Amino acid sequence: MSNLVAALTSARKKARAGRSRQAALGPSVMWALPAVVVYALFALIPILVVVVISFMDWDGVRPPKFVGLANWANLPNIAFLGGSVQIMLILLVCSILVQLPIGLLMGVWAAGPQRNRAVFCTIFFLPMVLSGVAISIVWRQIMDANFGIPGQFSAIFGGNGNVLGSMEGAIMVLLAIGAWGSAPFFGLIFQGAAKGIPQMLYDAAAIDGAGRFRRFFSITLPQLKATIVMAVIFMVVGGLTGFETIMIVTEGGPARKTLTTPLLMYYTAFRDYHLGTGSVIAVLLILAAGGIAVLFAKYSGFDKMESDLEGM
Amino acid sequence: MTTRKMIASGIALAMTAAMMLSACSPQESSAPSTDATGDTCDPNLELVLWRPGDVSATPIKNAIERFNQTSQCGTVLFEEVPSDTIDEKLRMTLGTDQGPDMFVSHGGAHLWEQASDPKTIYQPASTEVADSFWPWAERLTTLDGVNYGIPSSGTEPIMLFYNKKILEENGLQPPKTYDDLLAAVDVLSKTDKIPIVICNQAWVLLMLWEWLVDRIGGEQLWESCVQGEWKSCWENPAMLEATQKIVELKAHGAFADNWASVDYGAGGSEPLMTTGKGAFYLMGSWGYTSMLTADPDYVKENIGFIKMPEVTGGTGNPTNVIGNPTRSVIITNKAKLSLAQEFTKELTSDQFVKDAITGGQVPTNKNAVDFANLSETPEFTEFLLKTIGEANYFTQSWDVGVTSLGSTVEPEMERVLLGEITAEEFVAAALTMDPNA
Amino acid sequence: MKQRPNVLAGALTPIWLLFMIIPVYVVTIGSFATPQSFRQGGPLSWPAVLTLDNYQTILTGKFPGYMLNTLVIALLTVGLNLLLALPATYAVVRGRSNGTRRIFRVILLGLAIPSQTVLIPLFWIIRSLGLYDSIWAIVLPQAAFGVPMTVLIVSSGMRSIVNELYDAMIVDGASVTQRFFRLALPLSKSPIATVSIFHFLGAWNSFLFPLIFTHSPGTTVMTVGLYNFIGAYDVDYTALFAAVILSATPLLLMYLFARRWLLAGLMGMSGR
Repeated sequence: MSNLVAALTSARKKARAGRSRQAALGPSVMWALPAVVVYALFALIPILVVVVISFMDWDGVRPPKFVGLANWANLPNIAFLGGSVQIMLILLVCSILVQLPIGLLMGVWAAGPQRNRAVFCTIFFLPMVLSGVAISIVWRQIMDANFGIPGQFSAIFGGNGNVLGSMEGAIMVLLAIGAWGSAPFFGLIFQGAAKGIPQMLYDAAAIDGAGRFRRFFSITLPQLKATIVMAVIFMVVGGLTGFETIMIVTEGGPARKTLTTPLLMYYTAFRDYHLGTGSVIAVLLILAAGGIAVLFAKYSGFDKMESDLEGM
Repeated sequence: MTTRKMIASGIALAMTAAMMLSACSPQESSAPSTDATGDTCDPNLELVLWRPGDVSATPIKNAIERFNQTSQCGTVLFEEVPSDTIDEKLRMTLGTDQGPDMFVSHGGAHLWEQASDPKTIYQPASTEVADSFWPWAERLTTLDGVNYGIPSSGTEPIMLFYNKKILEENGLQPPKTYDDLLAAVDVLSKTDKIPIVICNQAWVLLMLWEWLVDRIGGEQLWESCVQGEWKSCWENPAMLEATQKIVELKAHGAFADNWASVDYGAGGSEPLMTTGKGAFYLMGSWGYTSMLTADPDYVKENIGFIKMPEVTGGTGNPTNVIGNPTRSVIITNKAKLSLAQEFTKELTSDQFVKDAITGGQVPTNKNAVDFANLSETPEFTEFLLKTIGEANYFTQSWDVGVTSLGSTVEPEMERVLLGEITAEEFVAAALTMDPNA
Repeated sequence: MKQRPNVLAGALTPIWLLFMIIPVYVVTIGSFATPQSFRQGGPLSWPAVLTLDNYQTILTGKFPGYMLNTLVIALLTVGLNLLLALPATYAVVRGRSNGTRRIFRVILLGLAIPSQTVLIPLFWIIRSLGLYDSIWAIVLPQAAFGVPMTVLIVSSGMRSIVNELYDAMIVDGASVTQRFFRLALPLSKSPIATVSIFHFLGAWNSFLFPLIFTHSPGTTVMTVGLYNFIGAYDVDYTALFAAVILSATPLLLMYLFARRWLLAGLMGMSGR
């Protein structure tokens, strides 16, 4: 009997030792498998499929027809592609120039010790609870030429309230909507980041006589560098692919003057049913967005896995 | 959270997931009948009908209710699909399990394009039922001599609405010709009123072309564009002349400077008419019903309507009508065909016609005129009946028949009205935009 | 040390406040106005009569159904996302093999793939799987696309758990799984909460997937419901505004109560 017990005990010990050797090795790839499978199915494989469809002529109804490089050879002739890239870049750069400073200022201010901050904060971050659709619909109504704000305050808006009817006006409105809807999001991120800046840096600078502006530019901004980079990536990828707002507010108008490339892709594929050509545009956008994101990721070193706190 | 809690919530999640999945299965149970014409009578049978749910849907919704109450062999379910997306959804699902059993369509070219095999997927309409309607209402649902649609909606021609008060104040009469209209514009542009109301939707601008091209070039001109003669159609001088007249109207101050910021409908163009800021409004008959809902008293008193003006010297027949002849029910389920055809009989009933007329529509039933006195806006109904009664031809709205116009020709129309391109440049651009190329 | 008053903030704040408030004012006041007064006076006018009719119209229509759909879809999306991504994060942070390192790079790449660009193939895949017009047509892609973000944010928090803590557990004989549930997860509660709220918000307000992959009332979500409103010929703007307010109210309540978590977790998100 005792032999059996001894045998069982030693077996159990060996198993445990084996397990703990295994255990010391950490989680295996299997832990990530479900995520990778689902992600592959709904994100990676579709990318391959988009490339495949870009070699086809498909109208969504009849079976796709393989046409080789025909769609790609036709690239220079795709209607409004060049113009749409221009518009997209203009909107992108302007959005960053508008939203980044606002987000920064909001976030840094909100991270500070001012009184009444809570009330203001609640209002400032209100847009985050509204969907892009809701925001776009409301703004479109507000900007009506005759019965909206431009109509009733025509002095500020140039006479006849024709804001959405011109390219400059439409772009201004889109930038305003972007700022209204997205700056709070970035403000929140910067607020979180700014809170993490060690107070002792500011105290040391204050002792050295540095004023508010000096402290902002010499301490706050450099400390927020990683966050700024991340925010810019967000905005760039968003600008290269988002089109919900434009679709609802201007529908790419007037006369295609706010037609960005992602919106062009959507219309080409889902309104005109040229899914092959739409896929060509989609592939170009994927390359652009992917390329930029990868570049930035490498630059800011997201790969490293060690704890930031080690050695602190 | 402890391990046990996590497992418990994981199981709960999985169970919920399974319930959701089974509840939302899109597969429909097939009809018990294997007979080709679906003659088995099964009260559990359900026909799904897709249609946008706007106000014009009330008569057919009521018809569905009545049918469901009395039918022994199955019921109809009205599924509202917004007009913005219904074309796309039909495209993606016709001929599959996820498609509808019936849907309502304007007919025309896109009806044939959105199904991979229209002659197999669409079921021929019952000729007995179709006889109750005017033949011209079935032209757009007929392919190679077979009619697939039963009219189910009011007819919607385009007309010229005008503000009686503004015209009176300026000593003007409702214009019968283009020249009359131009003269009126000249007078009105000196006032603070907007002579002709337009807005930022390209299909509204399209109506200007639809009107002038028809009056100058006749109805066969646009038909040739649609039937594959795009190039010769656009090279026809009528196209250029129509565009030049629009440029002329603009030069004479017919349109507000800020039209490109004005939205269509209750949020923009209609209030301009119902608050007395605009004099003329070229719009389909649904515009009247819409304005009526906003301000019934003002509209009944002050908004008048006439046929689209003729163009002196044009070859078009002045009784021609443009717009949406009707919207028809198309049956797509062969197995439930007899039930569906039974339902379409409801669209010929007196009650259906009454519902339509009291709702401000004029259905295309031959006996609609008998019920005209039930209308709450008898003058308007009379006018509609007269217009379509004496019409020589009913052209379908260009962008309903050729849906790609929205991405091709329509933005160019915007540019004409923005003053960015000339009439010649417009025609040159349109020449390159053949939808069938 | 006494702070000099921040003049810049003092000047800019009221302007920004006004800018923020105007649309909120329009929507809120508009939702209590009658269509007539809204049309006559325009968005900025104070209504002559305040009414609850708009809310009644919306609440007795299909909108509550849409709200329920939105809630279910948002919860399922977050649930599925966490179910998939948390173990993956653990593997990526604590895994010792080359496999896990490569997986992280692949997942990161995913941040660069915006969902809008793969609408076309996704549509085809969803149809082929027979999922068109089901809740899963929205939940699966949304959860999948959210996985990289979860991994990114939670990994940034999880990696600050120093090795010594794991070593201590290993000495005690804890298995990989036990270390996951008893150490990694509990200590990552904050970024997990943050990213959950983030994904919940995103799923609640998502628009494109529901628009393209569903259509029947049983699967319609609020954003698409709002969009359908304006697609109709006869738009009732005051009712629309009431719908907008209703669609935002649950989130607003959440926001007021969960802000603390949001802020605490965002520190991890900023890369520090």
